[in-house]
Amino acid sequence: MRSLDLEIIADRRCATSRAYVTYLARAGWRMPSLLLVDFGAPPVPPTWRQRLRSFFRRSTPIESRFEALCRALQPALAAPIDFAGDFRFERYADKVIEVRARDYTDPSFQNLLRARKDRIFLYTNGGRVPPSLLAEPHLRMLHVHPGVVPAVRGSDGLFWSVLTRGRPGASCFLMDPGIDTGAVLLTKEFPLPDFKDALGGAAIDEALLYRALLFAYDPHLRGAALAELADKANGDLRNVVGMAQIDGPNEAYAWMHPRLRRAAYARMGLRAA
Amino acid sequence: MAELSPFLARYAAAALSADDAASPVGALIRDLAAVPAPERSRTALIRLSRKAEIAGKIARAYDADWRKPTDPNPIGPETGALLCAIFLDQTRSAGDPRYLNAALKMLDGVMREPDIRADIALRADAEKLADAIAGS
Repeated sequence: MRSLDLEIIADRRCATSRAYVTYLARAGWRMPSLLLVDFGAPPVPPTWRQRLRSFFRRSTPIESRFEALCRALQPALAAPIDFAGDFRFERYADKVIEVRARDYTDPSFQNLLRARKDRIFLYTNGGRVPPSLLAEPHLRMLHVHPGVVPAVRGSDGLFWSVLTRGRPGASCFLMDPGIDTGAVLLTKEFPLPDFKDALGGAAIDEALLYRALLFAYDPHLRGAALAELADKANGDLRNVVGMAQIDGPNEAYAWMHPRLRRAAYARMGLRAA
Repeated sequence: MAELSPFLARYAAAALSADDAASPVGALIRDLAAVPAPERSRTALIRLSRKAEIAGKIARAYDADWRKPTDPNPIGPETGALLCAIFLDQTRSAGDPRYLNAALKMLDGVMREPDIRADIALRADAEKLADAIAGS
């Protein structure tokens, strides 16, 4: 395995974090260290009533259908990933540092990042990164966005890419305080997927399909783009130089209305009920 | 003044007598309706679409960079319906689904103020455009 000069700020529950390490390992990359973060408030021990409730909730029909849908999408993709089961991040890095943080505004988490700022970080999840943190000299945070910037910025990049450019895409850039406006390291477009065979052409509940594509397909695009960037930089991501985005009328998209999302699904061989 | 499509002209006429007629945002929306799609200010369209989609409310006046409303009262439903008709016209002429997205959210009540959910003609036109995009 080759050593990759990158520290992923992996969210334990985040599908994208799993995709990043899976695609990097597939391309032969291993990281010296990885931050494994549990975002959110510290857990409070559940009462017996909550325990009982969560036991019965564990396998609601909707959650089972969601997991089955995520699994069904995988065979059509380059590197099938188990998004539901336990995941061992220690397989992908020499050292895994486990951290709990409310979010990126958490002072102790910010101090941890400051103390390690000779590295280049990869953002995966955890909400908005405060502009003040991004503005700190030498603190560099990489982000992989599901859309080719500057054309596709903002929310639902996967669906806007399919609808406006006819294929999904991804961009790797260094985060700045704007919405997807940072200096670009790599952009990549992918062939339009055809999930028709994977799902047998069945009509699927729209909300479920939306969630499943974001959870179990979108991360593949980001993982593949990151692995390509690692290859392009020959593992030395700390010294890569980004290209400023061309200024122009490319305002960020807002979340896509379900009525329009149906058009994007149809192009991927999917049918929403 | 360029000739408006009959569809847009109907909404423009209704908005003329709205009680927000003198407000800066009401005037801006009527100005946008009065010119053909390629001549409309993209900046104004984007600002208005983001207010509809994200803030869920279009006020009668904003500060210079459109961050804070200087008159927090919402534009009237007639002007809201005219804006929705402009978004549909813009989608039809320029082929940009961004504006259809804003129109669909206005008609679904994502935009709370003004409430234009009851406008059947706008809804039918938005559905037709969405079908055309799905079929293309």
